Amino acid sequence: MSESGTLTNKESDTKILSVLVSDPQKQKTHSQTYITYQVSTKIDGKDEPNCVVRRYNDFVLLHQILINDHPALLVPPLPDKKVLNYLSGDRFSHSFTQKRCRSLQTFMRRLLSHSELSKSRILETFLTSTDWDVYRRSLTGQISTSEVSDVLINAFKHVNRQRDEFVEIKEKSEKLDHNLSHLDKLFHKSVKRVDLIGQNLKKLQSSLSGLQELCCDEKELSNSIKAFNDGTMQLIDSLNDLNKYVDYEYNVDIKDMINYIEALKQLIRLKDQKQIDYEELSEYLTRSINEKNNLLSGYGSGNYFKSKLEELAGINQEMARRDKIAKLETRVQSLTDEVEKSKQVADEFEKEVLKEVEQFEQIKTLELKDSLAALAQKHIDFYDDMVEKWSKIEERLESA
Amino acid sequence: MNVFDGSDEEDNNPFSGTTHLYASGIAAVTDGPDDYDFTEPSINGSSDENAQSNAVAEPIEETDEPAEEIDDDTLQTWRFASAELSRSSAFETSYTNLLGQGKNPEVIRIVDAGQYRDIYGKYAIGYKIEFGGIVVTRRYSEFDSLRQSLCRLLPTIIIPPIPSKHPIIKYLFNPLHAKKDIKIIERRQRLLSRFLNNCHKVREIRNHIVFQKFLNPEYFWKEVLNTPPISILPMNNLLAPPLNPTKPSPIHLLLPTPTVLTMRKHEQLIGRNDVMEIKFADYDSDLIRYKAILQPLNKTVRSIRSNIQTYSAVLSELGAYFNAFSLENSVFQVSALFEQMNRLSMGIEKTGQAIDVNYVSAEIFSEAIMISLEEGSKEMLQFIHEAQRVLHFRNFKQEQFYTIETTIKKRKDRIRELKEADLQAVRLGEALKLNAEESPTVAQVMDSMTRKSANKNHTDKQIMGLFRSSASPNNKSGSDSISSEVEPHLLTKDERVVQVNKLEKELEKLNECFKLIEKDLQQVNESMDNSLNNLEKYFHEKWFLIFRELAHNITSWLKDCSESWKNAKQSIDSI
Repeated sequence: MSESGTLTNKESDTKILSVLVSDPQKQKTHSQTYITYQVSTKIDGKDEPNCVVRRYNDFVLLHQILINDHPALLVPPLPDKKVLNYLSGDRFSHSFTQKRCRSLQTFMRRLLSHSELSKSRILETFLTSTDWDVYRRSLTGQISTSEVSDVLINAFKHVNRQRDEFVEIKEKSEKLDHNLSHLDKLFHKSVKRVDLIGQNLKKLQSSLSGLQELCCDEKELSNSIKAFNDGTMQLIDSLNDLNKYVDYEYNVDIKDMINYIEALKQLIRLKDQKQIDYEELSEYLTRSINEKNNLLSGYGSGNYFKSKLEELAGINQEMARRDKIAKLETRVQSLTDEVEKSKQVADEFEKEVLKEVEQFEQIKTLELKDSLAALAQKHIDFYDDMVEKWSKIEERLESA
Repeated sequence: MNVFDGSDEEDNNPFSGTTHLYASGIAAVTDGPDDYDFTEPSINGSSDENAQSNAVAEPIEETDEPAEEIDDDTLQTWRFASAELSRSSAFETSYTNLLGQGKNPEVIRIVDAGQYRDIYGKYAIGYKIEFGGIVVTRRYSEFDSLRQSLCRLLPTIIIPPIPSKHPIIKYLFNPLHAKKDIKIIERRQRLLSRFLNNCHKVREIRNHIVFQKFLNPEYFWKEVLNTPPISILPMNNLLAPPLNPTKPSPIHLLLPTPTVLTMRKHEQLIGRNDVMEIKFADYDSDLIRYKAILQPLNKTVRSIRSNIQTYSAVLSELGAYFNAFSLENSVFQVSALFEQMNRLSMGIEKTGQAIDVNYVSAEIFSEAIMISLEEGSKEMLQFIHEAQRVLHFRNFKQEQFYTIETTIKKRKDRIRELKEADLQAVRLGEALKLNAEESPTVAQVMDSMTRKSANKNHTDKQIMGLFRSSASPNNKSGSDSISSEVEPHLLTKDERVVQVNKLEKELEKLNECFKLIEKDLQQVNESMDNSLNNLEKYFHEKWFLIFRELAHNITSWLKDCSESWKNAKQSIDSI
């Protein structure tokens, strides 16, 4: 129970260095089947990584708590639920769990790279504590997920005035999204093609084996065919590995990046929401003040008929007017306060979001760098390995 | 040579009415048909017939004007410059010089392909062939007719293949156009050049006058097609000397003409345990096995190539999007990250460049696969098809051989039967004579028998005459007419004598045929064995070449890609 010790002592500053999500395992209980992932955390000052086992729903819970606790922060998104895969029963397939594992890993890394979220206590519990199970049981179903409807309501309202930065951010994130989704599509296509090429090469290989059998009297030729075929075999295998990497990891990274941008957009929409609140309030305030001023300056409120009607009804116009002015007075008073408050909230939020955008940029840059570097490295490894092998084969064939 | 003596027909020249060299009788042709060096005047006599038969064979060419009427200005200058002035000239010397270089893989090159104006002023796609410094332009249809002619001139030789014809329907809607169909023309250029070099490697083709004339700009190809030896090719190569079908040989015309229906089964022939037979049966089955491997291989290679092409198209798009991505990869300019983000842009751009390099080298690689493996295996398949055609010719020759052999056996049996019957009749006659001395009844029967036979003899003469004319020498196999099937003891003595005489005469001719076909078969075997052996060697060399080329291309593709990714990595690492 040493973990719970660190939990209670929050100031002890357990510095988390890195997190690894790995080893998806299929679990079967009497009522359900699910996949668990091993989450191992390297903590400063400890040699052994700290390992816990979590399932996707645990990640969902963590995510939900973080969003509710930090509405103004950019909480990294989780991979989609992929309802279709659930329906088709594909969610236990190797490729599905591998890809999800990769996404969860990215999620954890983003949390840890975030200056605020990485300090969150709930994250620490999630990573290190055996108490998490208790947490989950008591919290599941209790957390509201209301923000979605808010966003929907205001989907057609637009902010009137906004800072230039946000105009830029919105525009650019659209473009980035656009580029990335094209990359995603193209990588998918290329993965499919390479897969086909691999299958074709296998067929070629078997044809050549047939040829080798036919030419077995010709020692040299048969040796050449064998050399070539061996090389083809290795090419197929390595190509397959490389393709798997692109499919399972690089492509997932792109997808996750797209989701991250989506989360950022969501956050900006939330900011817009606050702005809209403020703008609506201040508009209301202006209207009230105008009305009050009109009354004060003696120009009849409303039209002639209305005043006539009121006169007939025996209402003292002068009295009513004063009454109204007094009401407006208090309304203006309270509205002024409200506007002040909402402006503060909106400004605060805006500042917060700008900071978040900066953080996003930082995390994104690092992430892109890492995934590009890994992509390049995988390719270099593949090509170098193949160059070495095929140079030898070429030599063998030349000497034949 | 007097096979026809004793026959009552006056003109049994089978060549009459054809364009054969012997059309006007054997005497009309001087000896020495071994060399094809016919001079032009020698064909003047039959040129009218040639013109007619060619008009039938090539109706398309009919509209063309004769070469002589063409204005010199319309001729391609580089083709016919001073050609007519010196017809013997430089070509022959350079050709003979180059003959020694048969080993050199690329003696003949097609240096250019494209639209040109042929001698009739028509536009066509021409292939500029360069051989020993001499250039000649030929069209695809001319290559095609060269090949067809070679197939007929050298029935025992495997003639190298040419690229298949453009599908006729495609051609109707969309004729080959120099600018539009660069790919097809390039491909043809490559494959036709391969064809010429493959031909040049084969001694029989290399030394053949028709092939030499094809490479010689001094000859109009149409003219070559209308002159010997092509114009005097026999209708049926089975009735001509196999190594040299245009060489006159009347006995060949006596050979039977087997059809596919009368062909013996292979197994029957192998049953004879002939060494050659077994060897050729092996060739046959090897070819079939080879084909069974090459066909799916060719298909697979085609789909590899097209998949790599699609893949490279995806890569090119991917490269473009990485480029766009490098310009628009941030949502907000953070001053603190300015430097880093610039570098990120660089890194992404370099990655895009690496992908671009991958795209280009994949394109090159797919081209290399197409040229070496796809076209190579296709060529081999065509070669196998050719080899099977040649083997088929041999089967027919073989069938001729067996037909004659069995016919001789039948005739001999018949003669023996007849002679035995004779002896028996003598014995029977003697026995009867003895009996007749004792019994008048027997004597009476004998008397009527001799009278009957005398009558029969008379009618038989008519039958015999009919038989003679109907059983003309060239269908020996069908000459078992009714009278020869009759039980020998039912014939009279005279009839038997006549038949024996006739059969012996036939046998004489048959034996001559047998000697001939035996020699033919030996020649066919030898020549084909050689040709098939060469093919096998050629295949082996081709495979070595293909594997070497492929391995080389794979390595350079891998190297290029590796290099480009290393460049990208450097830039990424500096982020």
